Amino acid sequence: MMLPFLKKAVYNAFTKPSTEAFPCPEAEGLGEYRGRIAFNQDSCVDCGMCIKVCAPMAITRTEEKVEGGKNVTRTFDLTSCTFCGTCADFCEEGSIKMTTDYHMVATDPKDLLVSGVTFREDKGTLTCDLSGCIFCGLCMRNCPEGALAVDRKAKTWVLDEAKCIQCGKCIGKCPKKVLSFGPVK
Amino acid sequence: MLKELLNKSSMKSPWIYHINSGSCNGCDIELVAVLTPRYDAERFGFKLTGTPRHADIVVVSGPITSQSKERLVRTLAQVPEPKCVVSLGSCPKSGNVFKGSYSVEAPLDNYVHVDVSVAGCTPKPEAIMEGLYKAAQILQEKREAMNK
Repeated sequence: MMLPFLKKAVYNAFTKPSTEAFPCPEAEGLGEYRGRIAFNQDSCVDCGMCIKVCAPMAITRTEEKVEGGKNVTRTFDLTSCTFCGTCADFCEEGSIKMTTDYHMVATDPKDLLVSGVTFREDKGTLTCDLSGCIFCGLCMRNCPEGALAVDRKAKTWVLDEAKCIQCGKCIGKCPKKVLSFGPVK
Repeated sequence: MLKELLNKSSMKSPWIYHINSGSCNGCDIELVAVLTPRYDAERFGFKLTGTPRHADIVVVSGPITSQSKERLVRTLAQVPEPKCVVSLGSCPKSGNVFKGSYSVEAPLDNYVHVDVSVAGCTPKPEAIMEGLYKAAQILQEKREAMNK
């Protein structure tokens, strides 16, 4: 009658408690857990895709003019983030990574900001050598800002300078290599 | 003598009051998980109370809807000093995905000073434990400052 309980009691007396220790040991098997964002400012091309896809608008971009270009600061507010990972999925350069770090406790809100500063050189206006252009429209489709308008039938290539952020994605995608940045004004 | 005893005992039993101001329940179930035997916050004396008048630590979750705002402010006013406010998850600090909605009045910082913020959507129970532990330490500091 008492025996089953007794067996269990003796067994439990010699086993480790099932309660997690505190401070908790590093959790295992996190796998694809999405925690703190890691941002690599060196590979960022400042295309702005992360800001566009962020549902809670947790990413802010500020720029500061310096000699020969500008300093672009990207800040990820972790107190605003839903950790959906969409920014990391859309980042073609792989500059944004979701780490498995879940220790996001702070008394100062500044500790929950992840930011990086990139120096963006003023490269000049994007130009197209129309004699070699086949008007395929790949540049237009890969432009994150929608600054290019290419018409295949009318054979026109138009750049909206105000929208162009000089990320250089179009240059990499151009099959005929006719795109280049012009002289700095 | 009695005061010293009281101080020592209240140090070992920071009671929690949980306010849900329109949360999706994600953070709430994780907070409950913290109190269960697996994470067992009760070994540090944390106990969930049913009334703000007994609370030392107030845990707020949710993006503070217009309906709950006034109740939240009223409830926070009933918590005796020294108190420590913990924001749970992204919602109370910024409004999260509900930011800019006509019925959401985040952030919580507009109404009360937030001592500890636990980020995550939802935070892991381990992170909530760390947050509560930090809150208890801050509470102790505040109590010592009050008794001086």
